[in-house]
Amino acid sequence: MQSNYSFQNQPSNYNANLNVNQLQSQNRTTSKNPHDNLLVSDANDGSPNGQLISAENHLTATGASFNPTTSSSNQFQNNQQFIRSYNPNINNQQVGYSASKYGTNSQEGALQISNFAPANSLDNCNTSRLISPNSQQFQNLQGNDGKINASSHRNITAHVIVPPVSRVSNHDAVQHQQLPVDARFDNPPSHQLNNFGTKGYGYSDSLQYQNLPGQHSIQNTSHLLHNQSNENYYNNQVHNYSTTPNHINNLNQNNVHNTLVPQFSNNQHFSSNTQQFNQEYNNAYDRLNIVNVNQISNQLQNLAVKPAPLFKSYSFLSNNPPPMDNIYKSSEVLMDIEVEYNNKLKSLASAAKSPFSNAAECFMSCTVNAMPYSLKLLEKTKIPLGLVISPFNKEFEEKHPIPVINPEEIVRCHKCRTYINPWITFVDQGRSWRCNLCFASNELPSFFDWDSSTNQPANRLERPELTHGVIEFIAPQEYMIRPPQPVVLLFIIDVSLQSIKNGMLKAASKIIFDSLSSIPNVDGRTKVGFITVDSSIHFYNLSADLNEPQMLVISDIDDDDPYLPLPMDLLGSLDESRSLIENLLDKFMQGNMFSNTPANKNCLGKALKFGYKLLNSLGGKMVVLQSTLPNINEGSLKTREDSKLYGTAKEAQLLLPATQFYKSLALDCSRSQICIDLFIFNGEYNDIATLSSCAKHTGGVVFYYPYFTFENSLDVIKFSSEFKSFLSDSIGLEAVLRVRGSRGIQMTAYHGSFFLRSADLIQLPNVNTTNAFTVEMTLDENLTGGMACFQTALLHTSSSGVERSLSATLEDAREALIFRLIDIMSGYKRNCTSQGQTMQLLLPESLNSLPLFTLGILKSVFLREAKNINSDFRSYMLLHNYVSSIETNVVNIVPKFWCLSNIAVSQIGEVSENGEVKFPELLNLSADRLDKQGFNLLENGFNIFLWIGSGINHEMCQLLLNSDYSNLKNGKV
Amino acid sequence: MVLSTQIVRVADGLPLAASMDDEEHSNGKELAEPKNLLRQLYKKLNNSVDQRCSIDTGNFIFHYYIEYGVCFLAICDKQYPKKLAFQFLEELQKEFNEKYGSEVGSVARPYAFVKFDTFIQKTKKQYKDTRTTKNLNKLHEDLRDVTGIMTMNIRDALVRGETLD
Repeated sequence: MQSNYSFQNQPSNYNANLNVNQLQSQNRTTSKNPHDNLLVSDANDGSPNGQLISAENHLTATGASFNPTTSSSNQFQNNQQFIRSYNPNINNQQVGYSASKYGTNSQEGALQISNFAPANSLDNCNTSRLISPNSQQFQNLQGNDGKINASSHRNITAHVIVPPVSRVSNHDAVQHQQLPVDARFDNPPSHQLNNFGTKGYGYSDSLQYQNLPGQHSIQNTSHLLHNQSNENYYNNQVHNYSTTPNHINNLNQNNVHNTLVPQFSNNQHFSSNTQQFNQEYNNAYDRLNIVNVNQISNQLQNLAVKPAPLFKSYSFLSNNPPPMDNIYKSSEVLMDIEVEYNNKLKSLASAAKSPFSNAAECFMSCTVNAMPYSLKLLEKTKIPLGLVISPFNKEFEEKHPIPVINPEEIVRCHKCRTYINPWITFVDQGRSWRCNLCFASNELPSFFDWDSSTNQPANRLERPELTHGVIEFIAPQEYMIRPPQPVVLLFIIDVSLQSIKNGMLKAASKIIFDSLSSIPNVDGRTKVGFITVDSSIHFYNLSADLNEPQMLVISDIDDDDPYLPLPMDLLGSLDESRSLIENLLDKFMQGNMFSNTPANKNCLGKALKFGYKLLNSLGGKMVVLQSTLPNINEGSLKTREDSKLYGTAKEAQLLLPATQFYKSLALDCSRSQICIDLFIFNGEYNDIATLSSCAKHTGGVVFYYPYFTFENSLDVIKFSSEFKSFLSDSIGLEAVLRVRGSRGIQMTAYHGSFFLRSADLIQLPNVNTTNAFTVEMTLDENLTGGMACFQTALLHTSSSGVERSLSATLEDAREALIFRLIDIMSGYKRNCTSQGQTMQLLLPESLNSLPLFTLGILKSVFLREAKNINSDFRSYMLLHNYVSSIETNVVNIVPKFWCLSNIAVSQIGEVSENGEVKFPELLNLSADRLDKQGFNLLENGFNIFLWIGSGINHEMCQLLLNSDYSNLKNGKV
Repeated sequence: MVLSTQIVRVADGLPLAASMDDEEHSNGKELAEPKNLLRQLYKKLNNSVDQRCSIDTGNFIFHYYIEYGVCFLAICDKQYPKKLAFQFLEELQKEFNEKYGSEVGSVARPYAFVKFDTFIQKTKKQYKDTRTTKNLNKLHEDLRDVTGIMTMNIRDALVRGETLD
């Protein structure tokens, strides 16, 4: 079992010198010894006390040279065999359900880890710090890439990007001061990346709603951004970074560069810098609004906002403490501070000045913190204007329940149909309200001031519509076209030989069996049905009148017009047919039912058509569990995989759907309120690129378990936990979502997993808690009115598309990303810095993570240039990235990395006041941060990787892992 | 046969429960039109003096039965025996009144009793085939006389009450 793993690229077999006593000594110089053990293990037990377990290499990926085309980075790529498995429930506690399992082309099949780069790569790495590509590298970038006009970009020689400091200025928006730019890329040509940059939590208002069982409701989210009425688009952080060459020297030597980040309370510091900044600013713009930073910070003090983690000053590149925490801003911190801010600010602009006037950022966030007032200004900034919307956020809702109301009338603007919200203004002595989006004046219904149930005057400013940014209305019947849809689950299970062999059928039946009680079934209307598929299609009569389920087989599947063998009873009521359902699942588990199943033949396409027919009138969910490539009848697919195409321009072909069959089926389903979710278990090629279009256009999700086997308990545990929570999650049904923006804002494109029913109406048969949507916007006229607002309305029934194709190649996508980054940087440089400053570019807080995220994306599984990523996995990751929320994606793109030696022994497992295990400081994702004498832990939302340095203390190793270093086993644990 | 069933509060036309119309040949499109008519009809229910009434729309026939301020309405094929339809509605009424009668006045949101659908489905099944012995017996019972129930045209039903103004 135990074996030493040596790097593939490393011929020598060098045994590490172990210096027992140097556990704490940080020998940062890159060793030529690549022979460190990588131990991967699984954290599916939740590892509440922070036991280190499982791992993956992302370090070299993100720590590599900034330029992806240089030879050094190619070396990394050779060494990145990556695997991740999907875990939809990513949060701080649950991360990393599974370790990876992914056969790589040249290694023995069971090896499931990624390698760290060999020493020579690390050397290359050493010259670049994450987040801070130094000037040399930027020049490389330009030099190597012929397409970049060197002269126009010469001045982007870049550099230390200033660490995030504060968010204060966001809140000054109300007082017409400058706002920092928040940069988030979201539109490279070939696919959408919806999560860039740091987020500000400025103005978020909005709302959301609870899941009231079986009822229709409207979720109304409005998001407010301040609109800059001058051209001060980039507000800069008000701190000064000295730009002397010292910086660069320090940088290149080692990590001792302490950026001068002033404490926020230090007014003195600020003001002087501000003046300087403003001078520069003056040069750049004709019209200028001078920021009075003193005022900002005074205000901050007045607000008595606890600056807590976000305002921490730290040195950027020093060993300790690193800035990584800011990137991940745990949602909790974010929310707390957000609410607090809102509380204190009482959003001066909102009607009721309620602390909850703006929707929390976890529901809605914009790529900019300050809205440019004109298209010209927007173009100057080069920043894509977009809005990312996640209609559900469980965590937030638990902490801040969303008001659910049932007013006499849902008040909406007569002109643009905007729902009344906290950002409207009262006009005409309060008799009317002016819509904050289209500025039309509307009459205010009398029940705002008079409570007819008690016959008492009412205070309109206390109405939830005017105090909460996120609110849920119970929809009156005019909003319903039919009675609320019941929950209907139709399982379409592959029972071909492969499914029997790998035990998928067994595992899935067991999990469904165990989950029957947790499937949402509030009003007793939930229905469940099963279709099993091999070369024929089997239905099951689950009528409550029967004693045991009847199997009905359709072996002649060539009929073009499929008819259902039994229209009424194929769906059984979960309550009334419970015993039959259990009986059937029991039979599935025993596994003799399909012992005569023919070799791997599967007609999934036909089965989906039957499923569509079955659910057509009701709507519902089709849950597809698939182990084989559908290879007969309609929708049959061929193995297109060709490893020779990996890393070439033709690779993109593999990521495009092979047939439109699944897409057109999905569109039909979407119209009938049917959602398709895919669980794919194939070890071989399964053409996820094609099959996933089912899920993509119906609001579904895709789960991928490569090389699943029942014998591997990790696979089963991962599948089990994900499938269980999938089945028990409350879901929004038959939803439509519409985003409205202030006059002048034009929605240009929508991205995510859904179907676009009309120009601006997103149809979602199913809204789940994980998916996010992105809206691209532009300005078609200048914004007026001092602020910009967005409102999202989601009409849905609670339970408890845009055609996009990857027409460009991956290489185009990578280039586009880099160009966009350079564009933004140069835009900033040109507009916001003085002309004389050529040595280095100092980025404001809101932009400073952008290069890091860009790098992270360039190195991510879905976009990385590599010859060893199979197309299924790439497709899966692409889709995952496309539909996930910002929080999920950020960790995936820039993993969290800790060196466990940095925590004192006494603190291990210590729990902080809020019940969470204390972690050591996060480290930059740079290879030289790897502690050769210790344990290094990396987590990316999919896996947790533990990297054990060759210099590990023997005793320690023995103590913690009960094994000698030399006997440690690589791979999944 | 009974194609769709709806239960509505008479006072304000608030829908309380409805069947999900999962009969194979009553696909939504066919029924969309009669359902639109129903929305208008519900606004007129207050003016109705009849406890039981049948309304002919051309393709379908609506039978309704009002009791304790709740209207039970079935959309049926024209061939479906009136007698069975009303027995079906009465059966629903009894069960509904027993289960939710006390809450009817206080609910505010539409389809508050949608879970009653399960019972509707079950009952509907029993009434589906007019030739089963059970149903034939019901047809031959003399206890209920449905001949006195008025059948009116949908247009008349929709303008009912307006002429008085």
